[in-house]
Amino acid sequence: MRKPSVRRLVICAVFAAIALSVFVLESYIPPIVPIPGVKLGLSNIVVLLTLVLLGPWESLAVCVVRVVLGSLLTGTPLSMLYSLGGGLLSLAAMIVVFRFLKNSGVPIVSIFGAFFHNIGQIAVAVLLIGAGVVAYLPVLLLSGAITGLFTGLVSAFVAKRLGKLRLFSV
Amino acid sequence: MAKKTRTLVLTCVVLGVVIASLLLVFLQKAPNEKRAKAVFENTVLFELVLRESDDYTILVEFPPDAAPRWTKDKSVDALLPGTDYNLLRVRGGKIGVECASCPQNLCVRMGMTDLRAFPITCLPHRLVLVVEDAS
Repeated sequence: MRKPSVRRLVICAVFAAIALSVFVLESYIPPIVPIPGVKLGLSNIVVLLTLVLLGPWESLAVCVVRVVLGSLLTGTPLSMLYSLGGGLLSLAAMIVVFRFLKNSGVPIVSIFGAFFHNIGQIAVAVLLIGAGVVAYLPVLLLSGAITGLFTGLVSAFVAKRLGKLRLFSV
Repeated sequence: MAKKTRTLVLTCVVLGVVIASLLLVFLQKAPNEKRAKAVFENTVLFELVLRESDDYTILVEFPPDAAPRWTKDKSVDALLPGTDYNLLRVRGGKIGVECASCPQNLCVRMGMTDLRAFPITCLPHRLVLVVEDAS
């Protein structure tokens, strides 16, 4: 990991603040589908943008700040476990797929992130409440494909425009 | 491997996952003889056979300092103040949550189920209602 410049640190902090704000705002939106775990995951747009524009370590920092502070602000210690399980597995999958696609294919990266976010959350749920919740996996993977594609397309659109700024060229 | 080939491979993986999920969700038939299980933290609280003629409620209480307990056809009004609960409804071969003390009431909004692919979960109370083939 290279030593981050002040500029990268500041951009990272701004992205973390945006991700946290979006996470908190989204928690006030009533669930569209009455199935636990199904949500748009708008804050993942910011994590994905950080991965594309800054790199994996910065996106890890944004992801951890968003999950820890977001859970403290909106949820319970249990919801932090779900978010951490889903968030970290999702980020790991996104980093691997982004590398595999030679730093391109943001929508596909996002869909894999959504898949693994749901797999991570189901894994935590199995540990906490039992194996019965595994039955949700097909429904969650379907919803992950849709929400992942949506957040991926938004991320690709924003990354294309932000990437042209000199701010991200250093 | 070229970038295009890699993208194509991963797109096929995504499509495969989506098709497999669709098949698992929509091709599942309700079993002929169904049994519902209420599971709390990996422990089965109770099991019951779901029949078309059934129509009753089960009150699952979560006292603050004791293990959860369940009672058939008990009213929510009889609960001590501050006790968390899920009032389950068994009707027409299906099971669901009629009302609950959890904040978002997602378990209530999930409606009634008789499918294995759609268990009903109350995450705040760590309660899962699973439907299985009785045979």
